[in-house]
Amino acid sequence: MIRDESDERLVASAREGDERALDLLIRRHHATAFRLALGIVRDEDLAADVAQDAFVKMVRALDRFRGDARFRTWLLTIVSNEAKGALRKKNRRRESSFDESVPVADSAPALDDQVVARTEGERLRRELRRLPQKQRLAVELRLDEGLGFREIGELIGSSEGAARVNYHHGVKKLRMWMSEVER
Amino acid sequence: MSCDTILDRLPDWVANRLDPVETASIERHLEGCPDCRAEAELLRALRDAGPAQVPVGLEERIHAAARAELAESAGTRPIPLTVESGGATGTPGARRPRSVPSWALGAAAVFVLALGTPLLVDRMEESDASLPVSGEPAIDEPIATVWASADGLIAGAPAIESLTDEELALLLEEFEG
Ligand SMILES: [Zn+2]
Repeated sequence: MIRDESDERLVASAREGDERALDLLIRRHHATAFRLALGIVRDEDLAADVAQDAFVKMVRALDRFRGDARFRTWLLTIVSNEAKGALRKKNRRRESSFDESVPVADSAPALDDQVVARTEGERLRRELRRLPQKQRLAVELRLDEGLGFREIGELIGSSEGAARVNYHHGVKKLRMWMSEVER
Repeated sequence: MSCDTILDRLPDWVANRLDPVETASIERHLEGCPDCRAEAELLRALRDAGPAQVPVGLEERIHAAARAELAESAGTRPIPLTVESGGATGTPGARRPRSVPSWALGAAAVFVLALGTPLLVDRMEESDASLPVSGEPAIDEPIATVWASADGLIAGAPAIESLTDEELALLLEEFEG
């Protein structure tokens, strides 16, 4: 069954032009790709564009994938690079299109941050967005996507040890913030 | 297991990613350790609130864009020369149709004869290695334009690179007589 094939086998088939193998790779990884992009650009529409562009670039570079790396890590690295590029472009556009006397729109809280969190989980998700980027990504990638610290390190540009530290610092901060709210 | 080990594994535990043995040993630890339990509760609450939802239709959008790129690049990708991947079992529809004038094939054969097969192999490996990971798409020049160039043999190289498997097989057949 093609459904049970490893990512790496699917890549080999996709490289030969097999569309079903490509579809399956997309089915498996598009959500993680989108959420990683969202974690970096923090804009849903832009994150969707980034995810799409990253998959297109992945296909274009299929021949470069040698199988000594894990496919998911390789794909997510493309997503991460693409997201950082999109963010730079967006910031450049904003700098050039705004009058300097006008306050930067980013200082206003995002719409979903203004909504009152009803459950502890919603409040936690909101607090999560306040963490420094590497800590936030480490928590999201570890908890939501099940990535190991080594893979997370590759994606946030740090060692496995530093990724673990980022994760634990992030969780510790969340615990601290939540206990402050309760008091 | 130490608290550190448990805390590393908790995200997998709350997401039910562990096997029964690991699950049981973590749960045994949690029963006797209020600190790890507090963290487990926090992660559970985070997990229950759920990660961001994927926008409706995004998967289909990606499918369409990626399939189009696959069809596009199947025609321009250098032909792998290794035995196991040389079979090119790709769907015929994915390959972009391209007609090669017979004079171009003949001229390409002259190029191969002039420079020899080893060079051809070198060139292909070289161009494969230089394929950009995230660059712009390779410009797919029409073969006629390439060959009309005054650079003669040098200008012919990309034309050979962009031949399909079938065209190359034909060419090599001709070459080997
Ligand atoms: Zn403990």
